[in-house]
Amino acid sequence: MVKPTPFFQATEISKRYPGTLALDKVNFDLYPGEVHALVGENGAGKSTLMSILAGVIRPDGGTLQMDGNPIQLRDPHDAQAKGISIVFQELALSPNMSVAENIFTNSQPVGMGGLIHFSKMYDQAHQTMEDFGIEINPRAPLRNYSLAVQQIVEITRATHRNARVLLLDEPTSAIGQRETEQLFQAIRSLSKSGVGVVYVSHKLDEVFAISDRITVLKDGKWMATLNTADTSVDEVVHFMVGRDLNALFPERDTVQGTPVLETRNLSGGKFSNVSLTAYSGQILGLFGLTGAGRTELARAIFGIDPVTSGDILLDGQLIKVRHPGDAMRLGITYITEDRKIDGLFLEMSIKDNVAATNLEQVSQGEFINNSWLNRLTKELVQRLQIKVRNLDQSLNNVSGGNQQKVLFSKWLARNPKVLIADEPTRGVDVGSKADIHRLLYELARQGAAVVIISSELPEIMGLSDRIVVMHQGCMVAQYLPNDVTEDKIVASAISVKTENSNSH
Amino acid sequence: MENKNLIKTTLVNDKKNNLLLALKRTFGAREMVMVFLIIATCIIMTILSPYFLSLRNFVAIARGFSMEGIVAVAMGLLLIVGAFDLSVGSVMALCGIVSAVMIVNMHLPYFVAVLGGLATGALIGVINGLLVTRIHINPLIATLGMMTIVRGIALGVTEGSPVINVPENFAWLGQGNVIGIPVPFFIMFVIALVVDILLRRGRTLRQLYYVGGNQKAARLSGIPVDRIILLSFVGTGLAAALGGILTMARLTSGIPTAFDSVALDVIAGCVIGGMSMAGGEGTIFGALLGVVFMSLISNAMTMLSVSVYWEGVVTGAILIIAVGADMFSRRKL
Repeated sequence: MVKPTPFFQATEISKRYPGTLALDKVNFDLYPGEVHALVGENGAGKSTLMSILAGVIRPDGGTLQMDGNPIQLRDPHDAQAKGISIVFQELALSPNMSVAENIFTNSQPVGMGGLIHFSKMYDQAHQTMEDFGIEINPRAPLRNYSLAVQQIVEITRATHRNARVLLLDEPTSAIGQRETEQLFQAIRSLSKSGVGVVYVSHKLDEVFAISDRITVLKDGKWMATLNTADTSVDEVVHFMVGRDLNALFPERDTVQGTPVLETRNLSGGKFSNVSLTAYSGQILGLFGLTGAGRTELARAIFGIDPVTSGDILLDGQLIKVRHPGDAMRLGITYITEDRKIDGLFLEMSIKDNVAATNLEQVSQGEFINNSWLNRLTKELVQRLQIKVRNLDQSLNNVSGGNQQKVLFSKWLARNPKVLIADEPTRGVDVGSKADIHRLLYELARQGAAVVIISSELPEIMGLSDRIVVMHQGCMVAQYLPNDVTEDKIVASAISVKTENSNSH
Repeated sequence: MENKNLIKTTLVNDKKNNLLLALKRTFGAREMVMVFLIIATCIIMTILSPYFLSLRNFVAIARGFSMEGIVAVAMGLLLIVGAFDLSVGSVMALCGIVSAVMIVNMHLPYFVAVLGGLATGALIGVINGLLVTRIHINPLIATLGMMTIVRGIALGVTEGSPVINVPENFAWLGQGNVIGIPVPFFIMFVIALVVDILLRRGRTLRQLYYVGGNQKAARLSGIPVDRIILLSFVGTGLAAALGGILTMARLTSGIPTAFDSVALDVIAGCVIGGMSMAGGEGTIFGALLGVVFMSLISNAMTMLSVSVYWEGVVTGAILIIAVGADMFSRRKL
């Protein structure tokens, strides 16, 4: 491909958030008609860079240039006017309106008297989608179509206003493999017409299939920009994860546990045929990309979502879990990945949050014994080193790290036999992170079977006694942490075949 | 920067906070405000009207307010859960009629008639609850539909005319006194007291706050969310039935067209007394104070011979001012 000069350039872009440097003098450029992929682990700074390129947030340092002239982006509108459009992971569409109306939001062709020229709009919508190789009825409500088609509608909407730069944030996170090919065709036909596409994805196989160049970010720093044709998955993975495990993790010693929680060929909504065992005294790490089915598996074990087939065993006994109450009575606990959405009662006090899962424990018959509840809460606050002013303080006024500790405390008070922690340290500061890691470790060594679900590889590597990797709802590999490298785990999570990945 | 300042000021305020918290724990800020407003209204009315401060007037207010009070207790529970029930007025009418018909036309024993009325209310509550929890119909729509249906049944069964000639000895339930206290008030007081205590200290009713506070988190905490919502609707059904039967006894007739403003009046009273439409907030004591305050205002306007046609302007304004003031005070915090 003949490449003239880059027309869109970001030079030495920096962005600082309280406590972290999200981007540290990152360079990025884009040629017309190319697909430039942006990869990196969670927290590497991809989303921050995308948001800056789209005008959603402003950089603290660095310059943006278009056609050699410096530009300032006031907001996404301004960016759009300058030819830069973004499609976020979460679609911003109106599913009940027609496909055509979704494509032409705010820019409908008008006819006499300023009224919408519907037949023209339908024709144009049909034509545009056909250009992408997709046959649709422009009058049908959008919800009738697959997520891939909706994704393409969103892209069409973003580009039909003469966009020159299209930013795609994890466009395939919600769609299947066959639909991905449909999407790729649309992206290819766009780039053929000269649009520069920035493609952010976790999935390296897709990145290699679609991109011309790949830029790797790590911890907010630019690591490398590689020509896709000249590089390999191994090289990219190496740039992504090449780092040392720091002192965030407790010293490890191996414990020979007994099986506590077992699943046998368990299938449900977004996972199938999962057979894994969690041992007492050990931490089992579940690694995978977002959407690999790990959370769905945990939710099914905890009785939130239904199991379609297969068995769950606890201490060798077959168990039936119909709702979370059943699981809790059996000694299973599940700590959700999003404390704000379904973990905590943010308007309520620490005491009330602890009581939510421990009502029997702090009640005498029907009546709640306030001094018991106070004592229990005080114990937990000390044990987890939660920093709060008093036990009646509303959680709204507590920092993220301390909120996360409260979330843990409400479950730890039940002395769980099995503890499943989903993204146990998401969005918490480094200090609380270390506290939570130590807590999980101690809990395991005191005899509980601990399962952690995490998208942070260092966390999985640093804590787990055994590691299970999931990909698209299936268990793809099982490792001992000493026998495996980070590269190999990432490779199996994106399902690139490597030798020695001893599938159970 | 802002964060640091925040921490400093909160530290300085710590002592004051502790005192406030202690008061809050016993009374709750909103309840204090309501008690103050009620006393203030009484003082002003005593000055303005010579008839206000009399036992007779207070007994009349108490008797009139009791039926709404019973409904308010149940509506309060439902509001805490994060739902509400518009059908209570229709249910009051229908259940009064059911009991009246069982007494007058079927000559059944009184307690059977009362049970019949209560069962009707409970059944409607079950249906409301199932519509909301199983079919996931929004409470507004479900109970609005039920309100219209139940009213239609009440009017259809009676062809629009009251069921009269309920015997005088049944009327004691609505008209009688126990040691000088009106029977309906006595019943309302006992129900409110028990529910208030159970809601503050009992582990079963405590769960309502979790459901209203964050339904998803409540579910993941092992709280049987759907069952609790369903039972709360049964609660409003039963309470409305009881209120309807007591009113029927008081008037010695079941009136199919009555109570059409009860649902909104009670919800307004509960919100003025500290409940939130979003759920998870408020106490039964507060809700009752809100309803008391509203009936006091209504009584005051009658005493001052304000035309009933203008009454709505005042009650509506009070509702908006109360909620507005609450929003304002929160923003400052």
